[in-house]
Amino acid sequence: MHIGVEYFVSVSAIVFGIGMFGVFTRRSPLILLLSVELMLNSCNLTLIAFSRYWGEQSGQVFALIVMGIAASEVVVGLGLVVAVARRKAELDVDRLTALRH
Amino acid sequence: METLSWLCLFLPLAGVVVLALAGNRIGREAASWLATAIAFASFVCGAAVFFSILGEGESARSHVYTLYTWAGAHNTHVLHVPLSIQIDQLSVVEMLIVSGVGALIVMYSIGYMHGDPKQRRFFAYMDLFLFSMLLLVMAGNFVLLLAGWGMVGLSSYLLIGFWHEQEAPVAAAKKAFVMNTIGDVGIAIAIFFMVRDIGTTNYQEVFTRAHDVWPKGSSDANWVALLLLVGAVAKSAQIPLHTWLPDAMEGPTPVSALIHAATMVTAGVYLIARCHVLFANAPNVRTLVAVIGVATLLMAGVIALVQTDIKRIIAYSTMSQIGYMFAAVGVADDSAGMFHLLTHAFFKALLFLGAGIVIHALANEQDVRRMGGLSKLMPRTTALMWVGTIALIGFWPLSKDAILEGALHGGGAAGWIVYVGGLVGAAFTGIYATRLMRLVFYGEMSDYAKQHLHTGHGEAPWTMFLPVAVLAAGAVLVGFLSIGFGITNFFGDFLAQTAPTIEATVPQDILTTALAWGAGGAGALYVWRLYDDPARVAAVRSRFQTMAIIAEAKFGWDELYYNIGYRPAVWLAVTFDSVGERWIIGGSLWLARTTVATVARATALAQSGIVRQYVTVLAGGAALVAVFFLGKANL
Amino acid sequence: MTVALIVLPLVCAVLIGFLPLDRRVAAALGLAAVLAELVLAAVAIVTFNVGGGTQFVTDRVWIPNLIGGADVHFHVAMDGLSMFMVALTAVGVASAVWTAIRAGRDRLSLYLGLLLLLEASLVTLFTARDLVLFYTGWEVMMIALFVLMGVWGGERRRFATLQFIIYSLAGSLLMLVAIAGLAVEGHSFDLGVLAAQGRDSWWMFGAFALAFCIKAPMFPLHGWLPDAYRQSTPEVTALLSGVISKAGAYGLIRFAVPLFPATAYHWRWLFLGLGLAGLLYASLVAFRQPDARGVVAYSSVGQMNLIIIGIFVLGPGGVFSDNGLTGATFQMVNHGVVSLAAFLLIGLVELRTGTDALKSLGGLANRRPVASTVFLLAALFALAVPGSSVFISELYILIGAFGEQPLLGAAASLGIVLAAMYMLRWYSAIAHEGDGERVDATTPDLRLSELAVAVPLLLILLVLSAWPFGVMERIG
Repeated sequence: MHIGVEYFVSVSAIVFGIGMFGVFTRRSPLILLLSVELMLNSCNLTLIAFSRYWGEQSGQVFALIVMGIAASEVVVGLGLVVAVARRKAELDVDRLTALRH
Repeated sequence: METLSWLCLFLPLAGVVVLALAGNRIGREAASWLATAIAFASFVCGAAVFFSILGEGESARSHVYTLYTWAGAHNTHVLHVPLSIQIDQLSVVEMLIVSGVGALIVMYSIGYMHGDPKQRRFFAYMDLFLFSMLLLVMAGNFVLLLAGWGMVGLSSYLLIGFWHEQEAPVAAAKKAFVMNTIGDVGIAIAIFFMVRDIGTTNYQEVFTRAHDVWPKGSSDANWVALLLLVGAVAKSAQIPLHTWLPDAMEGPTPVSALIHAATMVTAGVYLIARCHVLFANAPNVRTLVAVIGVATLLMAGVIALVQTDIKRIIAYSTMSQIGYMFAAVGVADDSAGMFHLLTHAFFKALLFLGAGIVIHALANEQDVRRMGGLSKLMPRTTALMWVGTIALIGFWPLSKDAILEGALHGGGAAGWIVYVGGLVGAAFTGIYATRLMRLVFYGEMSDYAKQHLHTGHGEAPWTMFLPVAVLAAGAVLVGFLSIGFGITNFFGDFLAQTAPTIEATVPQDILTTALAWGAGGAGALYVWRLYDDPARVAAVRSRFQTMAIIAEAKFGWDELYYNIGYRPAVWLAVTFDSVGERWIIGGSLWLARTTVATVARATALAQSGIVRQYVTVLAGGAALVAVFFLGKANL
Repeated sequence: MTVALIVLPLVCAVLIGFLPLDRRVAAALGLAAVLAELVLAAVAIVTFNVGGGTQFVTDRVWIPNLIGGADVHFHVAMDGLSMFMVALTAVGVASAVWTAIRAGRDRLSLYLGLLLLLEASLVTLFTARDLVLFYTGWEVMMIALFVLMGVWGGERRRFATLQFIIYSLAGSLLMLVAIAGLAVEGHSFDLGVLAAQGRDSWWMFGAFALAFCIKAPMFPLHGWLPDAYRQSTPEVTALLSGVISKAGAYGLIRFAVPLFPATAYHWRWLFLGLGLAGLLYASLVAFRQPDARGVVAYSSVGQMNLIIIGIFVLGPGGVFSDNGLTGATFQMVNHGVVSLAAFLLIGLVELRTGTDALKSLGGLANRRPVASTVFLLAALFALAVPGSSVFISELYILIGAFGEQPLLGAAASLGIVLAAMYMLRWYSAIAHEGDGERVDATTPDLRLSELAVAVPLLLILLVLSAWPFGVMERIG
């Protein structure tokens, strides 16, 4: 069965939207990271879909790179979350503005 | 001769270098003798040059020697200044005066400066002065002349302010330097004219081409002469730039004798004689020279009548005598002016050094009212001072008469001013010169003099006495170089190639000498008798009350300059500093700072630190970009 | 040759700045670097072929096709002017490094590294024949200076640095835009190519001139200067006044006027007028300054404005005046050495007395013969005593100005009288009369290690005075 590229793109857009909605509305850094992860993976989906559509490999390579970056980003992000959690009881990104100064 | 000329110039400079490098590794006495030996060596070279010039044909006595290119560039449009000297009759006479009288005065200083902690430095400065002055008189172009001109001003500054621990010498030194700088600027602007119109500053080319580029009496010709005159007036302490000279007496007495009597202050006369072509090209300015000379000789003569400081009396006398020289070159009798310059160098150095012996003996007292009756204890000094006084009044040598004769014979209308002013001035000279002798050496000895006069070891050490004696002999002998009356005019003939001269007739000579002797003698006799009775002195003073007050106020020049020069300049500086710097420049700074700070603060507002805001802006931006490109794609 | 002059200090700057070196090793290495640079500069002067035009050329493509089809070249070369500016830089940085080591600055290795970086950038901008390369040198110079001024120095150094940054950036950013504009229009970054095109554009010329005139500084753009000169360490102030101000004048001579000859000619009276006003204004203000640095700072403004007069005495078609330009370039050398000497000497006074306020000083010449002589010589050169090299260069500038307009030359000559007034006041306040309140019998004379900086600088000036032609024939 052949699934058209438009389906992949639609799914990807929906997942991206969910992720973006999460980033916009949630204040917990953990959920924020999850949402960012959703957005990244939706992009991966698009990359792979188009890669198959054009019969090329470069999209897949990019997807791998994105996954690598996403993994490292999560490592750093979670590390930060843990560090902040140790110092402050409340985990609220709207209150974490110390870096502004 | 070329080597000798360069040696004459550079020996004193070598002395400065040696003394500066040696520092306190050599003794004070050794340094003093070294400086003296160098000055004498320079004189010997100068004398050798003089005699070889004398041995040459009359038309071949001018030489220009070039060592190397001093300033310039490969581009030929750039002014080219060679390090060149011009040796001719005029400069060789000056070389002899500067190095000869200079060497004697440096020798005198050995005794005078004995024991001063900065003795070595003093002698280095003296040698520096000799080098600068020789550079001034030997220079072969106007830029080098100006270099020498400024460096004698510098040496003068250093030596006037030699005792810089005190306030007065420092102030006097600064005043002298700044007023002389005004003169330097005058010469500099004259140089600008030469470069613009002739393209060079070498004497020979400038003097040859001056007539072509600046027609006689044209405004440019007048400007050039006038600007050179500004330099001459400042250096020679003539009206209106004369006020620094009396103050300069704060320096050690040998300095006053060398710089402020014998050599540097007469440089203005040398300059005008050297540039006689340019002054002949501007007759009005030349008349102005004569008028300035007469005005100065009268004014300085009047002020000298009421001074009480022995050195200031002689300083005003110097100013007055230079007035005579200006009068001479102002009526185109340059050789008479130079002859007076020569004799004046001898007798005025003599008077200053004699006064120095007195001051030295009286523990640095300079007020003539605290002297008196010194002739009994200092007979030899008194005798030598009389030689100087007779020369100053004008009995012998006949150099002042020569000026008046020339003015009478060939001076035209300006000549009459010079003649009458000069005779009146001769009477003043007789009065103040005799008054000085009368007050210092005769009459009752003051209490101060009784306490302080210590002549146990003779009047002065031989190193001080010998130069004074030589100067006295010179003052007498030099008179024979030019007597007039158709007897001999060796000096005028010698200079004739380089400086215009006026030969008066014998009756004119006799008339003038009689009148000048009469005026000077009458003045001298009058004042000699006057001081027999102190009450009569007071009576005379009260009769001429107004005049005396004006003379004591030195005709108010200092106040005038303070009010029209110094105060406005300071006011301007204060205004610029407080209004300009603080409000305008400071305001622009403030504006720049606040603008940057305000913009920065406004931008900083966007940095809320709330991640979700950033994301929103980011998404909005991405959306806009998307819309933009979608819109383009559809079109 | 030119490349070696750039690379040597750059490499040493990196080594000293980043390697964790011991203080003494860093000092030794820094000193060795600046001395080697001095030797290189001396070799360049000796081997320079007089009348041979531009020499020591290196030209490689650096960034191909940046904008407008124009390649950026690493194009460096030296003519007489560049060479003497490089030599001045080498002399200035060498004396600064020695002074810094003697004064024992905090974080010495970083300080020396920055000084060497400054040297590398200055040599680059004085030798660059490519606009981008020049701009790179210009900006690196600024960055090094910002750090040198902002980290070391007086109490209000942050404030002074901020002003300096604002002024400098305003100028140099506009210049960057003008460089881009030039490349788009002229399809090249090469100075020779662009100058041959002879553009006439008021805004590009204005952008270049503004950057250079702020740095020089030309009146009334000197607002940043008093604070900067007062708050920096003596050696940085000496470099600012002695060398970096010359970068501004150099930019005018090398870039602003040759790139836009017609524009420069058209606007010359603006610069001549402001130059004259600045000369007299700064000289008068210098006369009222209460501190030794202030007097020399404003004197420096006055002298730089005189140099600007010499530069902008232009003939039709933007041709430099022969005498004016010769005087201006020679005065850049002379004034550079004089201000180095003056500010480093003020630094020595501050080291002894802790102040440079004139009312607390005085009497330094009493019983201190060496200090007396050294300060005297510096003052005399600063007031351009006739016969000195400074006098010669001023005379040539004024001759040029007089040729353009007699009144301009005559009015500018008044600067000589004013210079005599403020420098004599400066010298007397430091050296003359009784001891000031911060000076007493124990205040030491100059030491041998201090003379190691002062004497060479004064010797250079004495040699230049004896034979100005030696520099003038090469620099023209």
